[in-house]
Amino acid sequence: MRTLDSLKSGESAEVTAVRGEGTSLRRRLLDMGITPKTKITLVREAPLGDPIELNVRGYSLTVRKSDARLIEVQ
Amino acid sequence: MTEKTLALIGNQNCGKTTLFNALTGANQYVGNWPGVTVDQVIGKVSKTDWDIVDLPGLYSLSPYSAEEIVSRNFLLSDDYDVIVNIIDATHLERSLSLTLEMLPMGRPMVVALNMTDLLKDEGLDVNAKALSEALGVQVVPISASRGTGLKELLEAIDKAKASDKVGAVYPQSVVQMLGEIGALLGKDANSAQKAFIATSLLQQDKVYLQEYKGSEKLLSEVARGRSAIEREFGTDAEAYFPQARYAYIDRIIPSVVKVASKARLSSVSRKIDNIVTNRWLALPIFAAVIYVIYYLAVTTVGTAATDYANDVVFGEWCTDGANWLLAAAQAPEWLSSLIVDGIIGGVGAVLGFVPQMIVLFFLLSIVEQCGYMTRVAFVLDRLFRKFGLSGRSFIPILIATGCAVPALMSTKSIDNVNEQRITLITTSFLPCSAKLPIMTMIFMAFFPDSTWIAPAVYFLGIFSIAVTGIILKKSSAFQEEVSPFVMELPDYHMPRALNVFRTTYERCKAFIIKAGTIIFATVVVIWFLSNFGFTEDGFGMTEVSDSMLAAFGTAVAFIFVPVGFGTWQASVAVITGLLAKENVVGTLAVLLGLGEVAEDDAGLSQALQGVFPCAVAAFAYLAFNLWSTPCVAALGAMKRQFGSGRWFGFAVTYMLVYAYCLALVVYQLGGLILGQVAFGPFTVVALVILGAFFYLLFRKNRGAAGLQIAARNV
Repeated sequence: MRTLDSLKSGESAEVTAVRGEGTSLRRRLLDMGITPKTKITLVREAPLGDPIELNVRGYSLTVRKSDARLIEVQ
Repeated sequence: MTEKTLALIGNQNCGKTTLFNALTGANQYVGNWPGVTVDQVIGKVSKTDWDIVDLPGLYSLSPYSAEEIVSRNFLLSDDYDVIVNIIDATHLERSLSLTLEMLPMGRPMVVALNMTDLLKDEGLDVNAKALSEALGVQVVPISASRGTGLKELLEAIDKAKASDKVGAVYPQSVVQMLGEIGALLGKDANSAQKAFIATSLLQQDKVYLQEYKGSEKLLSEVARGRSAIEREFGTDAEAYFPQARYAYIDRIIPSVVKVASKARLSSVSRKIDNIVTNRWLALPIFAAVIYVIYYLAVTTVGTAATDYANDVVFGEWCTDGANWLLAAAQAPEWLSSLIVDGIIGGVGAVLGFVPQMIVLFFLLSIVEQCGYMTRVAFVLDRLFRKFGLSGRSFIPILIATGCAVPALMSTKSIDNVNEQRITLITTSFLPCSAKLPIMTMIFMAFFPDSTWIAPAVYFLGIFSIAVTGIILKKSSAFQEEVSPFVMELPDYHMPRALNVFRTTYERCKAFIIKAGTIIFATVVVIWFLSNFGFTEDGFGMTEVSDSMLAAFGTAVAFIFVPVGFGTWQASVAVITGLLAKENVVGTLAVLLGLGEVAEDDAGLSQALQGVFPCAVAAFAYLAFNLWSTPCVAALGAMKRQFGSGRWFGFAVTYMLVYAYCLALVVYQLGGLILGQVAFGPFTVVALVILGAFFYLLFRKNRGAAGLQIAARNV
């Protein structure tokens, strides 16, 4: 089982599930368009290694790595 | 056109406030920064009877930050007639999610398809008619920045009706389920509340589950609905609703958006980001940007303008003019003193900062509106998170080495309220330029040949910021539920001159009005206390040494005995230092009978030897002056940014307690180690304080305060 934080810069993957049931973080991620079957590209890591920049549905989104661990991908 | 109230709703950075300005012609702050609009702002739509309410931007109806709750609660109220949903045509998928979330509310709605002027550059073609059919409401292409399509938008608003396409987004079984749960909410709930609360209950929203925990029939219906959704769609209800919305968006997008050519604008943004957030270049570029801002606002232009305002405008023109007028009118002595020393001296000193603030806010609004500020947060987040601060806290802290007033005002751009509060408290911990004379005075008198003492003060300043951040971050009051760090990095664009000037103007105006009133009152009070007192001839004007302030200083001096400066002169100087930190040196000189002298005067150095028993006591005095509350002007700015008396009170208390404890530990323990202070009961107190400090610093995090804020705001 891979999670989004394990992607390398420039790598893309398809979301299979968003974990963290019952948290506002999960609701936020889903609301921002990170839903199952969505294609996500990890654009880059911040210079200090965290957070990461994602490309989701044509726009740039930044999340912390610890939060990206909730997102399962394949 | 009949009277109507419009609710203007949209994502952050979609041009919402620009549209508001275009429709109303009002002055309202616009920024390329998530969450610029703090509260609802109401304007009149030009040439109509319509009111339009500009609400904080939001990405969805789920509550995250206090700002977003303002918008959502307004949508659930009966206070408006039409929803004007503004969406970014270049980021259609994400924008439409909110639109679809509002459709079931059953309210008349119009979609303003903004940024259509950028579509060509983005290589996109959006079919508004097809989108309108898919949503069941009118979609009007506009460009808020160019003012096109506004007439058509107003016509559509006039004829707005509720969508009839809810059944297309969700299958019939779900629509029916929402209706059944909504019906159980009672007659008082309006259509918007019914739809939203039913969805929230199905998604196990803690706030609404709590509110309806007594209604068994309702909750069993919700439980039945949840299992039906899980059975039918193979996913939990929490994920189902956003998934269904995006599934519908994915279905309609092919018929609405045609990709005509390669995107130009977003690829430009990507190229800029390749450099600006590059692993090796990001920090040097950030340092260069900061250097330019600091150089212009603090070192050169800003300070030159502020010095001119202080020395020439207020120091000469106003003072001389007022003196001349007062002499001509044969005004009594107290009135001249009040106007010249009190009001012009006090309020003038504060208004003197305005030129510097104009330069600073001008530069900051350019950095904000072009989109760079979000990248600063991205680049520095990891470093500052450890101290409960944000990447954006760096700018206020740096500016504060010049002056804390503009620094505190610039914390507005920190959208995480916990981080903003910690930044507000710690920003003035690095010595500002007005504190330099106090440092020089103490150094000359007690540490004349030391090379380590000045760096030690700055190190102690950085130390104070770091430990305060760590201690406060762990307390539950600073763990208010905020939007998680899931932040859009908007495309870069050239800042528009009008928006930059408006931002600068609005922020400076706010400072002059709000801080000006508090400062005015305070300077009059302190002027009165330091110029009046009881003498042999009864109550009247006196020298400062016979004033009520001196009496007050004598009365409170005992408080400062444990920290080594329990003399009334030192206490009075602490109080006048509140007006402006420059006053500390002047007051001490006057109270020690030296009159006007420079801070490095040899006579002053000698006189100070009599005030402070030893060098450690003098250093403790310096520490208390530097790390207790900043001057009145900064306090005014701080209160305005906190926006709450309770928080402001906490900040002031924290700073006083912190400075006192620091001075106590420095004096008692430092003195003991250096053999300048004997062991006594206060040594024990200092050790206890030190123990408590280490406990607060290293204790475990108390954990998030949960959904308290959400519960409070519903």
